Amino acid sequence: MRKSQHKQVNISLRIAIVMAFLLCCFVVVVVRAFSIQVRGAEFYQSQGEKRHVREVEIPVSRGSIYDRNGEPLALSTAMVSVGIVPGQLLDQFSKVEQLAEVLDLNADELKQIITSRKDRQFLFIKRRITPMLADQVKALNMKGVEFRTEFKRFYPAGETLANVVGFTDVEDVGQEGLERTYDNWLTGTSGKKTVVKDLLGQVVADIDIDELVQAKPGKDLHLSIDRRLQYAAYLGLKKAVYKFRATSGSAVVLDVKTGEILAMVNQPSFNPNGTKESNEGLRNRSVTDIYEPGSVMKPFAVVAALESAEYTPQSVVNTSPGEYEVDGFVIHDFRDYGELSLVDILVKSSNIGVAKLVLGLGKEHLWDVYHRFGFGQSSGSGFMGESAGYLPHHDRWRTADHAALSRGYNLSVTTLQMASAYSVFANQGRYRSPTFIKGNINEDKAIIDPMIASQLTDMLSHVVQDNDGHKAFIPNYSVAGKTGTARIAEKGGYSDNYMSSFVGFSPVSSPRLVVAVTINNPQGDAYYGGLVAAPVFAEIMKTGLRLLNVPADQMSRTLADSTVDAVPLMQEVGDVQ
Amino acid sequence: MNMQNGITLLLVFILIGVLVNYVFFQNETRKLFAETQSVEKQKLELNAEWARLQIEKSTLVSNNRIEQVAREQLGMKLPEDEQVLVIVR
Repeated sequence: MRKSQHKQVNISLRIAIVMAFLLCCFVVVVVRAFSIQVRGAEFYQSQGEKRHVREVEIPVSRGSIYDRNGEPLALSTAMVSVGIVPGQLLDQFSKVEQLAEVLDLNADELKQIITSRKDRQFLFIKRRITPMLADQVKALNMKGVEFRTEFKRFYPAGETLANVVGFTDVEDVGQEGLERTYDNWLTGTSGKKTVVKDLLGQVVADIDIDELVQAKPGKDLHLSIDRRLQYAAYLGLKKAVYKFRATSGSAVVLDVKTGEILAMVNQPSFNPNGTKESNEGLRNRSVTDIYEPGSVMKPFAVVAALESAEYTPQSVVNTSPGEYEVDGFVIHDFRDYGELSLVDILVKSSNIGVAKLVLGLGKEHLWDVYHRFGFGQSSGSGFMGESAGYLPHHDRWRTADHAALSRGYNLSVTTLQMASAYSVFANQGRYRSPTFIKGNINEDKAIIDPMIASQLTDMLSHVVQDNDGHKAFIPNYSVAGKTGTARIAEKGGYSDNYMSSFVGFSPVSSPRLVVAVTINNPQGDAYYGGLVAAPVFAEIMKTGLRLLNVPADQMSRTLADSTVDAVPLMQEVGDVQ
Repeated sequence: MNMQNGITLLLVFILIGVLVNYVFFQNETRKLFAETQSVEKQKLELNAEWARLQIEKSTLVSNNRIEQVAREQLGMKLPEDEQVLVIVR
C-alpha cells in the first residue's frame, strides 16, 4: 500500500506528460483538419469530383439524306475510333505490337509516337473502324486504350450523285455540295450530362435528370432527286462523254410543274466512299461552271422579236446570201437559206436570221428578255458555290455584241440556268426557281405572255420534227428543244474546241420534264450539239417519261393499228412471265 | 411517462422502417439505373445495326446491281423502240 502511494505521485506526472503529448497531437490534427476542410476545401472537392463525377458527351448522328422516294443517299453509321493515353502504354510495348497488328498500323511508328508524345492525355490512332474490329481490340484488354463513338458517312448512290450531294470531312462537317449547303440543318448538337462513375469507370448514376446540354440529332434532308432517274442520266452522260472523249459534261432534269431538280449529273465524278484522289470531279459543274451557250439562246431572241409585235411566227426574214456584215464582223450561216420564217430560223438555226431580228429592236429589250429568263442571276436553287453566270449590261453593248448575244455569245450561263429558262416555255410563260428539296416549291411568276410561250413551244417542236432523223427524237412522245454548238473562248479569240448542248422538254401537249445537256469539248469529227448532246437528251428524257409514267401524246405505233406485229410481241412478253 | 416511452419507441420503429426503406429503394434505383444503362446501350447497338442494314440494303438495291442481275442472271433487257406499242383506250 505504501509502495503504491509512493508511486502515485509519479503516475500523475506521467499522466500530465501523456496528456500534454496527446494535446499536441490533437492540435496538429485540428490544424491539419482546418487547413484541409476550410482552406483547401475547394481544391479537394473538385479533385474528388473529378474522380467520380464526370461530364459525358452524348454523341448524335448527322441527319440522313434521302431521295424523293425515300431511298437513302447519305447515311451516318456509328463507328468506333481508337485512341490511346501514351503515358500508360510505355511499359507494355509487347502488347502495343499486337495492337498495331490488329489495327494494321506500323508497330515501330506507333511505339515512336508513344515515346515522343508521352505527355499527351489522349490521341487518336485509328478512327472509324467497324464495331467488329473494335471488339478484337477490346479483347486485347489493354490499359490506356480508349474507345469513342464516331460516325462515318456512307453514300449509297456513289459516283452518280457525288458532286451534288458532296461530302463531309473527318469531323463530320459538310465540305462540298448539299452536305455543305445544308450543313446547319444536318448537323446535330451532341448532348452532355453529368454522371457518377465508380472506380472501374462504370456509370453508376445520372446526377441530373435533365441533360446538361440536350442531345439533338441532325435533321434528315429529303431531296427532289429521283435516284433511278439520276442513275439513268448519269449512265447516259458518262457513255457520251466517254464515246466522244469529251473533257466534261453535265445534265439537268427539271420537273416543269414544280421546278424540282429530279436529276443533276456531271462528268467527271468521284467515288464519295473512297479517298479523293483529284479535285477534278468534285465540282457540281451543272451549277458552278459557266459557258457561252451558242444557238440554244436563239429562242430567247425570237421571244424578243415576238414581243415587239413586229413579227409573228410566220413573218419572213431574208438571210441571203448566207453572209451578213455587222459593224465590221461577218456573220455566217451554214449555207444560204434564202427567205426564212421565224419558225425556220430556229429549225435551221440561222445566225443571220436572229441577228436581223434583234438588230431591229432595242438593245435594252433583248437584255430585258434575257434578264427576265434569269440569265446573269443566280437561279435561286441555294446551292453553295452556284454561279450567277454573266450577262453584260446593255449600256456596254456594241452593235456587234448585240448580234453576238442573239446567237448565244458574249454571255455565260450554267446548265441549270438553261434548264430553268426553257421550263418557262413549258410552263405557260412562268418562271420558277429550281429547288433541290422535295416539296420546297418556289413561287412562279409570269415573265412572258402565255401566248408567246405556246408559240415558242410549237416552234421548238418543229426543230425536232422538221429535221429528219433528229437525234432528240423519242418514239411516242412529242419533243420540243434546241441544239447548241458554241466555240469555246480562249485568250484572244475562239478555239477549235466546242461546247455541244441540247435543251428541250416533252411531251409538248402537256410538258412534264425539261432536260438540259451540255458536253464540253467533244473530240473527233462529231461535235455538233445535234450529234453529241441530243442523243443523251433523248435517252434521259425517254427514261424519265417512263419512270414518271407520263402518258404518250404522239403514238407512232399503237396496238390498234399494228395488231399483226403486236401478236408475236405480246407472246414474247408472255413467255418471260 | 409510459405514454412518452411508447411514442419514443414508435418513432424509433418508424425511423428504422424509413431507413430500411431508404436503403431498399436506393438499391432499387441503382438496379433500375443499371437496367436503363444496358437498355440505352442496346438501343445504340440496335441503331448501329439498323444503319448497317440500311447500308447493306442500299447496296443490294443499288441501280447498278439491279441492272446487272436483270441483264445477266434474268436475261432481261429494255425493249427496243420498235417493240414498244401504246395501248389506246
